[in-house]
Amino acid sequence: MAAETIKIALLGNPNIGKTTLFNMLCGLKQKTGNYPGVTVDQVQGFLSHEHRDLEIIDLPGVNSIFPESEDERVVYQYLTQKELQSRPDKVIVVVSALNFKRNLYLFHQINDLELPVILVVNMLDAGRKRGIEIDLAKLQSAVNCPVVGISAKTGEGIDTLKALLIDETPISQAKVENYLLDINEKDFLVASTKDGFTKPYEYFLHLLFTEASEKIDLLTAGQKNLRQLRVNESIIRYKNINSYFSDVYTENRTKATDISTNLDKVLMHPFWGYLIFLAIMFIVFQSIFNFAAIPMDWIDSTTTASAGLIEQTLPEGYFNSLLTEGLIPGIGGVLIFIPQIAILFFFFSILEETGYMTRIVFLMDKLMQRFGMSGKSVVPLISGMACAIPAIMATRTIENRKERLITILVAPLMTCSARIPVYVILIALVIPDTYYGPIGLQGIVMLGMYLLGIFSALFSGWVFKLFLKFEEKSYLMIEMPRYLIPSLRNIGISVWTNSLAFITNAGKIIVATSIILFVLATNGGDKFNDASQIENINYPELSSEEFDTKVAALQLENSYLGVIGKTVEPIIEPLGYDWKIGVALLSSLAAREVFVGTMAIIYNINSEEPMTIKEKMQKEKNGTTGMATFGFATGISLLLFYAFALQCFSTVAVTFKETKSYKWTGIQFAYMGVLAYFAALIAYQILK
Amino acid sequence: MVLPLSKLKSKIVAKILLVENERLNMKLVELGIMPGVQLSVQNKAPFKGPLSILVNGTKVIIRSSEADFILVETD
Repeated sequence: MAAETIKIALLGNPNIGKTTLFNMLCGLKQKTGNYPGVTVDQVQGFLSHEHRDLEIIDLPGVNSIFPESEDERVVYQYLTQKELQSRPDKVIVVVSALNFKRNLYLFHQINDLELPVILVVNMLDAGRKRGIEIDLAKLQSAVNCPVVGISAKTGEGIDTLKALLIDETPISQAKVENYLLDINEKDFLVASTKDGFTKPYEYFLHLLFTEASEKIDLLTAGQKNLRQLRVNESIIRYKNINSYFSDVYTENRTKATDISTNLDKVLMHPFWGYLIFLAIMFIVFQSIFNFAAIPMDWIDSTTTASAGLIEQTLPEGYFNSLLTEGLIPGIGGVLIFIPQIAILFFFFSILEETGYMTRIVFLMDKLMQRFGMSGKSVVPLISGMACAIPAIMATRTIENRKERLITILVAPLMTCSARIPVYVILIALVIPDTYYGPIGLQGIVMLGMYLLGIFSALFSGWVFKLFLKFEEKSYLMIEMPRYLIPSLRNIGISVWTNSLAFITNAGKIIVATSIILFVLATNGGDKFNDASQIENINYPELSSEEFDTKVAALQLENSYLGVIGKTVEPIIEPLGYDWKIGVALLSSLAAREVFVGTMAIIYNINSEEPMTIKEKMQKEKNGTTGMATFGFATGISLLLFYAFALQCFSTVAVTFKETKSYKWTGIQFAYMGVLAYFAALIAYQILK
Repeated sequence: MVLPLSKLKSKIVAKILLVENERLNMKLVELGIMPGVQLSVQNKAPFKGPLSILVNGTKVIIRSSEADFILVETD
């Protein structure tokens, strides 16, 4: 009989090297899926050891099992879910040698849930450098479960851990006195069994979470409320930890050269701290444009060239056109993102790994509160500059519901990377390529678009703050990790998995829309089919080449795609758009980046020679005025439209998933749409 | 001298006496921040922004509006 896969949950506090351990165990064999029963994303990894298959589930980093934030709720629900077969076979609790006592608190909570628990002490090497020694044997006898010491970065102890993972793990021993003083133990156990709980601590948590005040009143004879029970639990747990702590943990303070404190003097300084923060952001965005430009041009010209090559090699016909005029330009529109996405995730993972992200929270909290958010909103908003989807998911660390909701609502206004290709091509078309010394005008406009994203997000936050009323008071309490040198391996894996996820997600939408667009553009009603006869009557004297262009233009106009575009034209005409841009707007409703691909497809169908997308758009003339379609006013109007409109189905989906509310998902889509339409309208009417 | 944590000068070691807010206390205790524990303020963000405090060997960020509720005693 083949042995079944062992399912292992990996959990621990934030910033303890949990992800490093996960990467060390699973490498690139990881994917994002859904928690059974809980509809949030989880990261799963796979490995095999001694012919056994292991599945590792990386749970979010939390400080305690009490669900205050969404992340904590996820962990609690996952570990206590009703379907026993979806519960993990083993639980690894990771603690850090650098923050040992605090991390043990979470471990003891998990331990009382009566699960097969393995305690992993990470960062042993970093601890030793700071004079910290942990006696693992004594720890094991104190906590009464398998203990292994590792350093996830160097790989120390990983083999011992793997061996433990395939071994039988004993169920952890819980004691009511570990968390409960004020209730008679017998009464409590009786009540627990009566309410159908087999594990008393699970029952205790259940009472606290469901705020079962009446039952607590009954059990404590009205002496304690649930907050006091929680405070008492914490005090008892720390008391228990202290009872063995000094036997296990020794710190030689003379060895501790605290680089972190010295760095914080500068990085958290009331003046220099902010200056450095701005400088870091500036470097990140400069790099995105400078380093990504070359590979992006290369990808663009390669897709154009390969389309040309395939067109010549394959036999002529509908399939040939579908490939070279529909699919390849569409896919090219996705591939062109890779350099920028990769660079962005590269910098984000460095900021995260070093521990700098928490300093940003410190610096920005006061400012963000003015806009209805918290310092913790800054990290999601900055991630929003890569993509709104991870940004909205990153809001789970924000405990306060109002601050979290506002952050979700405004995050898509940040300039995500899907807007970059749209901006790049529009700016190249309408902004002159002039330089003032070393500074290019196009670059300044691009920077302006980023600032527009930030300011509109803050402004919208301020407006929402005025209208939203929540009772709950907000708190900010975060532990600051010590600075660490980032691991290249972690950065590499983060860049790889995020870029891959982006390509597959965006790719699916783009391939589908490309095919649909192409079919709609190359089929039509009577006028479409009779185009050559009509033009024959209208222009009998034209040369065959000019005649072909006329026919193609008439066909496109009367294709199903053209009909759709013409239908929406009256609505978007005041914004300075023609029906072709209308088609691009509609098709990029699902994903902004489709805009460039759609432009490529629409203009490809008109043209004979292979050109890059920019060349095609430059040549495009407005049918009625004869002026260039992408004039200054239209270009600016389009830039503003793309800055504000929520053209991203994935974002809509993730907002719904995170807010579980049609109302807020609808409000987000509507307010951004209204903002986009009127900003574009005003800009065009002033500039035209 | 007894004073709220928000008024404590940087790098001065003080002992927690009392947290005058039940919910805040509940959250602080989880982090091991409870009466009797020693702490010091390390960094202050400008315009009454958050403080970073050193407690139990770890730095923790809290808002100064929260620090108002934490009464500490210096020697």
